[in-house]
Amino acid sequence: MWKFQKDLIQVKDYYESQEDYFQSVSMHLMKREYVRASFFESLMQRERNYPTGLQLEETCVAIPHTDSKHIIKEFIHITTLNKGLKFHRMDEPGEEIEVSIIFLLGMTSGDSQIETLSKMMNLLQNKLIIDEIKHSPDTGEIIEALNHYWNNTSIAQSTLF
Amino acid sequence: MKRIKVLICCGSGIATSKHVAQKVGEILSETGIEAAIDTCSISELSDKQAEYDILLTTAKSDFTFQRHVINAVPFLTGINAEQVRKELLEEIGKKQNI
Repeated sequence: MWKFQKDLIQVKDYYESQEDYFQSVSMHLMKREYVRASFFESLMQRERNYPTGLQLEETCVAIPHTDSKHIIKEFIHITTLNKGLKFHRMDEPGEEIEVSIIFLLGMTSGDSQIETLSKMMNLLQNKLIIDEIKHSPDTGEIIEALNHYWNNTSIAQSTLF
Repeated sequence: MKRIKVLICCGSGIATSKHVAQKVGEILSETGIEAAIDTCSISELSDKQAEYDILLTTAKSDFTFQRHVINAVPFLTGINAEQVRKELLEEIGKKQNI
């Protein structure tokens, strides 16, 4: 069963730039042996070529990720920002949006992760939980909200259409 | 009826395309359409596209296609997802009648 890790959630953070964020988070993940040293460069490049900013109904988020060869063990790292960070839109790369939550996805290869991934992606369409994550003042509340969502939703139930 | 071949691509071929594949699979099984669904990265799209009836992508491609490519980002955000669902079923309808 998937478990969200407290040390992989950063609340009300501030970053000067996308690079600043990628550098800091890559270092954090490397120290904990989630990713290889090559992760940072690869992530930056992937985001530059295929941006991951998504405009949701009320909130903008980003879902950066890169090739599984840079991942040691799978993870979902969540950052909420107290000041929006600029990302380019996935569907309109020429357009920039200010995101307030970043879901960094660390996927190793294989189809076994499709359930985790799909559940994670379905979460983006759940306004209540997105709002909860965005406004939570501390990590504990986010973990609680996420675990509650995770354990009470099947993939089919969380599908909106 | 012809078995439809669907190709879904994204920047990496590992994340959003797999999720969209799941969504498309649900839609097609609800509507009783038989299909084979594959995923790939956008860099593989130009080589592979000719083998498929329906193309969806979450990433914007610089490659200009002489054919219709469905924008699948609404399946990630939920915004306009219903329209894209209709678009998908319409495109499949056209292929089935060929």
